Amino acid sequence: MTKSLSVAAIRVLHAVARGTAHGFDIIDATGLPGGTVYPALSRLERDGLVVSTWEAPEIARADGRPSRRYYRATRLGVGTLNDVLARLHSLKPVHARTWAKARS
Amino acid sequence: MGEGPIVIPRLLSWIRWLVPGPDRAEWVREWLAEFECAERDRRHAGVPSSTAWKIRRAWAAGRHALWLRGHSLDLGTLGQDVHHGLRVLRHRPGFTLAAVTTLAIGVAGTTVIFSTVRAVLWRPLPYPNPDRLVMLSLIDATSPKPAETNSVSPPNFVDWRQRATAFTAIAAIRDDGYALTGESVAEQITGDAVTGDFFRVMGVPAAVGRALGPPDAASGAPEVVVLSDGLWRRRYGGDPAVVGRRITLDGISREVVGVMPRDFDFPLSSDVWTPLRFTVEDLTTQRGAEYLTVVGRIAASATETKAAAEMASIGQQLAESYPKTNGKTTVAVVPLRRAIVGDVQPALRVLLSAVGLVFLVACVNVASLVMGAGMTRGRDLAVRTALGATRGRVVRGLFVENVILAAIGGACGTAIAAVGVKAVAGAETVGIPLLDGTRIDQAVVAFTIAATTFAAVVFGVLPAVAASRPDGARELSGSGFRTTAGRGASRARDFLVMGEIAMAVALLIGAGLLSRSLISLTAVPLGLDVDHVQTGSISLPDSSYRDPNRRALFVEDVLARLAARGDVDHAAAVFGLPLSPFSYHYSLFDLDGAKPGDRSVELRVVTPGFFATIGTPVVGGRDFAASDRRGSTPVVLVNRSAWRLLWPATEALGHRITLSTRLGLGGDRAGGQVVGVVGDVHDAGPSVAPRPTVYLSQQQFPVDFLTLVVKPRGVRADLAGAIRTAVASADPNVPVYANRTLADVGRRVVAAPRFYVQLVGLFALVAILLAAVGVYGVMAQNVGVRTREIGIRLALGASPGMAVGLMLRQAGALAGLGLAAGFGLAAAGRQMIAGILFGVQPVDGVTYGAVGGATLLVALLASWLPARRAARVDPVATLRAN
Repeated sequence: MTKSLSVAAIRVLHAVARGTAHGFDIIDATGLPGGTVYPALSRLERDGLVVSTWEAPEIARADGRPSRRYYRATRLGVGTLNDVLARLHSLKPVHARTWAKARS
Repeated sequence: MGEGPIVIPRLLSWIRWLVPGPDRAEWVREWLAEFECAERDRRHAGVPSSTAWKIRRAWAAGRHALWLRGHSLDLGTLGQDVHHGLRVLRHRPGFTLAAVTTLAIGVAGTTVIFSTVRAVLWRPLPYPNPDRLVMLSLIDATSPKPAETNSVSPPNFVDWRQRATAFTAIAAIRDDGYALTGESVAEQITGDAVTGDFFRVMGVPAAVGRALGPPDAASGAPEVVVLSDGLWRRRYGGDPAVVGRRITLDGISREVVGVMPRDFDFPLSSDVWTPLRFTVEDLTTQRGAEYLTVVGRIAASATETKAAAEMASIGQQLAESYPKTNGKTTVAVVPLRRAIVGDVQPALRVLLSAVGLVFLVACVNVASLVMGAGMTRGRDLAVRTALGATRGRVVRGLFVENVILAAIGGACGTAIAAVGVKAVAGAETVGIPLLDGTRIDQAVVAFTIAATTFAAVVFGVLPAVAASRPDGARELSGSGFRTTAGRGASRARDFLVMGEIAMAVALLIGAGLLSRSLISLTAVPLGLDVDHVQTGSISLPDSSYRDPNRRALFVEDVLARLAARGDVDHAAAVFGLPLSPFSYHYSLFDLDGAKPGDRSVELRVVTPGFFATIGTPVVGGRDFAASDRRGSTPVVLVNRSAWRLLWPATEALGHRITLSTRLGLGGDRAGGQVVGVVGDVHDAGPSVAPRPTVYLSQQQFPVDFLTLVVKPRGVRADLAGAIRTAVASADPNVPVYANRTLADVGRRVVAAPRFYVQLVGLFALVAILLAAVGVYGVMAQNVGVRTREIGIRLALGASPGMAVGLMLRQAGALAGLGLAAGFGLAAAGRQMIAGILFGVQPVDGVTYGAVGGATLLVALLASWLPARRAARVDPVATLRAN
């Protein structure tokens, strides 16, 4: 599965795979605007890279707050993420001199 | 929870409507929970959330909702629907062609009439704050239906201008014509003499040079002129250097000081504007001489009501001061557009309603066609449903087909409309003001798109919903076996066709009434014989024809030249050609040496032989003779109406009459002894009763503006050329214009009613044809669907005639109900059409009867073919097939 992912989606998926579980936390963890994070989450979920579940009501109630929607990465999601990261990792930084040479 | 929970839930409850239904509950739950938890955490941490933070997060919620909405539209299957729709339409070319043509006709007609009405009634006049522009006129307060745009005399105008405070400025206009001579060919142009404030009232500066101002109207100021854009381009090639040049108008050299912009067209079709100056005599003795048009601009501090009240009070003061001339008058303040457009408003409303009906008929017809197609496609739809398509999906598919139809029909209709709009804009002869401004602009395009969308949505969705409800099991049970038509869809279709018939009937009645009205108009005996009479107008330049003797001699010379020709039977001249828009109205000054009371007459000046030329009989006494010259006793002729008005109990001959006009020598009042009575002439057209008229002799009261009228000896003489030659050989500096036959002049009088009849007639024809197609479609459908029922009836011993009767009865019932509804519709619209009818009542038995008969006949004819097919049903074959 190598569906193309935007940088924002990669960062959201990365945050979810590392255990950041709910919307506002993901916003804070990635530093992305909320208007980017939520559509990215919906898209990742539609593509099967993350799944969401509702927090058990008794836990939330014990904590005195409403249940949250928790996201977690699927196996496909983690595989895709690692695949993308590995490919990104293989790219070497470009030095200014190399860039200037390529341009000329 | 601070202020958050108070604001955020409300915000979310608004935004949630953006979220598609299936996702909505979860979306609300997630966002509410996140907000509440975040709020709680922040409070615990001692950093309550700021308003900016809340706005950013609420914004995020909105973006999320929009994203979900955007991704719920399944554009992939929409593409499939479009593709499928196009294929279906291509495979049914007959249906597609019928539907597209019908819609195109509806859209084209509606667009043309809409753009016409917009140009004439709705588009703002091209002047700053046009709603503050008004026309002021002196009207007869005692008349039950006073005209609103009468002329005004110079003293009244000057008094108004001095006393009125509710206006920024008031200006007077005198309709003029000039001979433009000196450069190339002499040309007669239209023009207006205007007072100094005219261009300030209109609020439009010159495009080149300057407009006229108050200094130009001061006595002794240099003679100047402002050109219209049209004349500037036509005659001077649009050269800006024309400003400063001198041109010769009526023999007077004037300096061109400016050129007006292209869309400045007031008074309508004016070529030049010159300064209007009043002499002391104008202002002291001419209170009864009403020849000025007065316009004003209401001040920003005043309103139309205030201005009208002020003018009414000024009118009252003047009536008290000058009871003889102003006694029974009041001042009307009329918005300029209404004054320009006048009485075409009701006619245009009728046209707009008529074309609206055509459009509805077209939509209904397409809806009916679509439903018919849907009924025959029951099996196709049932298969799609059986294969798992949801009802929504099937409806959407059908809807997309209808949208495609509407789009193609709309595009074709707009293309046809573009041609039609050009034709309307060029139809000057119809006599509707501002018609030349008809064009397809943004508003018209927006209207067309709206109309097409309306057609697609309202009449596309309904049939789609009806057609998507096939009885799947029955459709798929093998043969589509049924004995009668499916009730829901076929009833709806009957209803649509009834509606079509009703609207077509209303249109036919409108067209019938207008035709009867036109027939009544043209049947009115005008009191003259227009056949073959040629006319041509001349205006003698003041510079060389100031002397009345010269005018009289010139006219005599021209007439003698014409009479000398072998192909001329009669030649004469008249000031105030009958049937042309002309009124020269004067109050009586003296009647048999006594005060005449408050009576007034039309005034005409003619040469001997005028009545013989136009075929109006001299019914008593004699015509003017060559011996009625300057110096001999002044004589006049009167028409029968004037006789009845002035001397109802006695003979007219021998009485003496003087009018308040100063056409006489040295400013004397004009009049004389009555030596003859002539027949009445409907000189203002057939719809206006003949006006009491007094005729003066051109040799005794020579005027400088005349129309030559010539009757040929044979029929095929080139009299237009003869008139030009005769005038040119008498004086090459006098141009001849408006060279046309009297029959043409007469046709213009009924041009507008004829135009309405033609348009509404065309609409009615289209509507009844569409309705006939609708009836045919429904009946053909019924025969198709009821073949088995008819087969069984025939097998049980019914005659083929009975089958025909069965179908015709059904068609008759449809047509009868439609007819009744149509009569109701027409009767409801009677108020609207009454204003443009002449000599026929809006609820006219003959018209209703004829339309009723014709409609029934058309409906029966349209169902005849299907009914015949029903009679030919072979019972054995039908029963075996099922």
